[in-house]
Amino acid sequence: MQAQSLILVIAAGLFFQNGGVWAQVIEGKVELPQESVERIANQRYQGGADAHTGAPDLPAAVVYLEGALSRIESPGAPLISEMAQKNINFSPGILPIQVGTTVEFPNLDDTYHNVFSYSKTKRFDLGRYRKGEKPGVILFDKPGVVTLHCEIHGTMRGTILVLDTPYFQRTDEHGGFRLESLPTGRYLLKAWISEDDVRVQSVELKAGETIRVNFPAK
Amino acid sequence: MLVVLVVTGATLYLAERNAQARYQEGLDAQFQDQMRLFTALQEARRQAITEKCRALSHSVRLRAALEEEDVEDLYRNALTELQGILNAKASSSDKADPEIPRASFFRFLDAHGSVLSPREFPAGPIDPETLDQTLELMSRALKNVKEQTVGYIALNQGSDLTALREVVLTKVLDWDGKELGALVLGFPVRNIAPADATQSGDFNSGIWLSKQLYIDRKVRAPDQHLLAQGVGEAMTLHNTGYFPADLENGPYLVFYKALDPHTQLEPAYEVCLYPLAASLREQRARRWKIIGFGALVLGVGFVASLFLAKGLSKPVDKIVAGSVENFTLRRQAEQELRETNQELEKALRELKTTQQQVIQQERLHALGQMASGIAHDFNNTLTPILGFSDLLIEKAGLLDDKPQAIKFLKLLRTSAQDAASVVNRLREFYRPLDKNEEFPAVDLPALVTQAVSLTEPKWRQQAQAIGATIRVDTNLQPVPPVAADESALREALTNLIFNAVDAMPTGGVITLETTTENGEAVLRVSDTGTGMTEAVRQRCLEPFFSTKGEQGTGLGLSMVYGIIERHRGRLDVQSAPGQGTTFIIRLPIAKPAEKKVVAATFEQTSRPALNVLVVDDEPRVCEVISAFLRSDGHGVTTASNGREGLEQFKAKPFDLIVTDRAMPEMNGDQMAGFIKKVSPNTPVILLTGFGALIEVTSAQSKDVDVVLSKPVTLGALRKTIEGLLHAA
Repeated sequence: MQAQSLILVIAAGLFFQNGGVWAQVIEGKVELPQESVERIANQRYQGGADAHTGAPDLPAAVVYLEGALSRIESPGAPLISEMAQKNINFSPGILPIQVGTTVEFPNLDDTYHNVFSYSKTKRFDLGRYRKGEKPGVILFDKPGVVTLHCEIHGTMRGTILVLDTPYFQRTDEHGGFRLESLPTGRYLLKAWISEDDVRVQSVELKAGETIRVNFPAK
Repeated sequence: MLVVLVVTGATLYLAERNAQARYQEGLDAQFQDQMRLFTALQEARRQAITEKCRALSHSVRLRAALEEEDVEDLYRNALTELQGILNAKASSSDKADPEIPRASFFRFLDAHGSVLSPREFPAGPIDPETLDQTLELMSRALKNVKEQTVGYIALNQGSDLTALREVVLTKVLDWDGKELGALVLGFPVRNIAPADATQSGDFNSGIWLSKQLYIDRKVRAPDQHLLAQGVGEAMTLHNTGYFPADLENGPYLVFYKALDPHTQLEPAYEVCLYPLAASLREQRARRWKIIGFGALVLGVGFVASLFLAKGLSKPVDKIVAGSVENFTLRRQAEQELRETNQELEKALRELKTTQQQVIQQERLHALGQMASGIAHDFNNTLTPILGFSDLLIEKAGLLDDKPQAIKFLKLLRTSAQDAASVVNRLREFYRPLDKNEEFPAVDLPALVTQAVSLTEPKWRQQAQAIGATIRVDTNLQPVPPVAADESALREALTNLIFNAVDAMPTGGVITLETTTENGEAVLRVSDTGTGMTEAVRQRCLEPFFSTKGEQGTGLGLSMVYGIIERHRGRLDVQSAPGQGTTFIIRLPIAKPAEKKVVAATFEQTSRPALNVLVVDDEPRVCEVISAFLRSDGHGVTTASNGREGLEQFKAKPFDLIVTDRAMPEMNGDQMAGFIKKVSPNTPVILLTGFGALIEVTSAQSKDVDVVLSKPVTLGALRKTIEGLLHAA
């Protein structure tokens, strides 16, 4: 009986160790760069031809956990995500995905779009398609940054961040984030704002703990 | 004897000098012309290239590929985009149309100025190693380039133009203005001299770059050195100019022009050699002819005077005859000179035809601007016409108030006349402003009063319709008459009042004042409206500058400015936000004589009653002309085309024919021809909708006495008839 309860305790300990019911949480805030007035003016000026261009997606960062993560094998269900084109903009402006995710690119505008990327992470060109047409589908099988363009609308600019971790989140417009169900251990927490601005902090997650990490501007 | 010698000598000297001066003048003019053409053509060509490059640098795919430094996609996409501009085959370059510039290579530089080598991608027929090295050198200047720069590079040690490429360097920026790199497009450099001008000593062109001159066509090394040095010295003083140079095969004028004074690349100059040899030979030969002949005359005169020492008159006669011959010879020489000039012109013709296309485009552009200006003015003049006629129709009682009705009708007529003169300006467009254009004298305060009444529909009714009350105050001191085109000035005033109304959306006061200041007539138009910021004030006279959004053409004030300029007057603008705006017009006062002329034209004389035949296929025009003539007591018969008119004329004689030009069956000119055959003394007045345009485009028919342009006014018709009767 005693041995039994000992086993139970050990099993529970192991369970906690790997991030069980009382999963660990990191929350905090990324200080987002002020979008320069100049850039907005620039866009307005050059986008003159596309009078109906909507406001670009609000800026956001992607926060993700990196380190020696125990590989959780693919749970069977395929990873699928979506990068829409709406109001002559990519929506969302930045999309974090896990390696192996398939992304759809539906066109929600009344105009043609032609999404393409010359990024080394993933080169592709979807050709022209319009609303309602079956959108192109791309599988992202390598981690890295993919910059998206539209051949027709020069102002459109989107980013897909292909991450080698299942623990990531896009911040809200104020930079706030909350990553839940994290495993215990020592890791690197990264905030990706742009290719030139990736902020890193090391974190140690203990069982059942919620820690707060902020990423001030560099 | 001495007198004879001196007189003849002086005559010879003057004749020679005169001819030389004229020749020099002609030569200078020719030279200037040619240089103007040369630069205009170069500019046009260059503009086409730089535009294309700028467009390319905005290509989404090129930007994306450059950003990712994806060389393969970069060149593949650029190749597609540049298809029309790249030289498909290098060998066809000498046959290509020089007007369509064909690039011989293109390269991309990355943000640091390193050449992104195209490797296996064909990007021009030139050895890529030399090219890339040269570009690498050039790209050091990249960081100083703002957006685009044009320059030349030398690819090898050669000294002719084939060693050079004209390069257009355009920066490629991403959407945020971050530098991604640059596109360099290279073009072969051609001698701009016409291909058929290959005789020795002909017009020749080259490029001066890095203290070396690149030029074709047998310019020898010492000459090249001399020219390079000459340009090098001259350029330290001016960006453009010319200097004389004595080369091996004769004297030349050398024209040089900095490609781009602000270029960040190696400074380059376009150089043009303009030969003087042929013309100098010509001139020298002529001089010898004149001197030789003069000497002969002198000799003969001297011998004759020895034999006939007693009678001085005979040799003098001879010499006089000789001078006449001398004069003839000079004429001959001038004739020869003219012929040489014609030959030179022939060489220029090719250049001129291409330039003509450029000019034509410019003219079409300007005509487009004109047309929209005309539409704008025309609508302005229509406002009172519509306004007053509405008033008269809606308030029929007004018609019983005769003085009031006549006042309205007069204003209607004035506006219609202005509308006609607006259309006339289309014609004016082809006529450059005559420097000696004289205007009749106009009473400024009267004109102001008229303009205020004319614009009443706008400032009273229209303003009231949107709930604003606008008052117009006038403070009109008597001013001496100004020399002015009355309808143009009225139009300017109308525009200023409209402008004031638009500036006062919530109502206010427009004040018009006339005074005399410093011997000038001054007119002030002030409003109590929103006023302008300093930036707007400075630009408000520019064409197409408007703060009225969709409603404004941006032409109103620029037109006012144009009109005042034409009157040799000045237009000043005072304004501040919230303080209203004041336009100040200063006009020169008319000379007293001008007033008389105008007064005389309206004198009435007793008119004899005439028997008139009016021919026009447009019944309304026929009706109006007939009414005019009948009101002056003439008898009128009408016909609706030339054939019918001719039948009428055969039936009974007329004192005067008034006919339209364009009519079915038989036009006015043909009818006039038949009538003049039968009765050469019967005057014919031809009415035309095109007015003076006909005088310009086709010779006026000899069978027509006067051409009157439509719309015809009673005054004009009356005056024409009086003139014809006077002449008869």
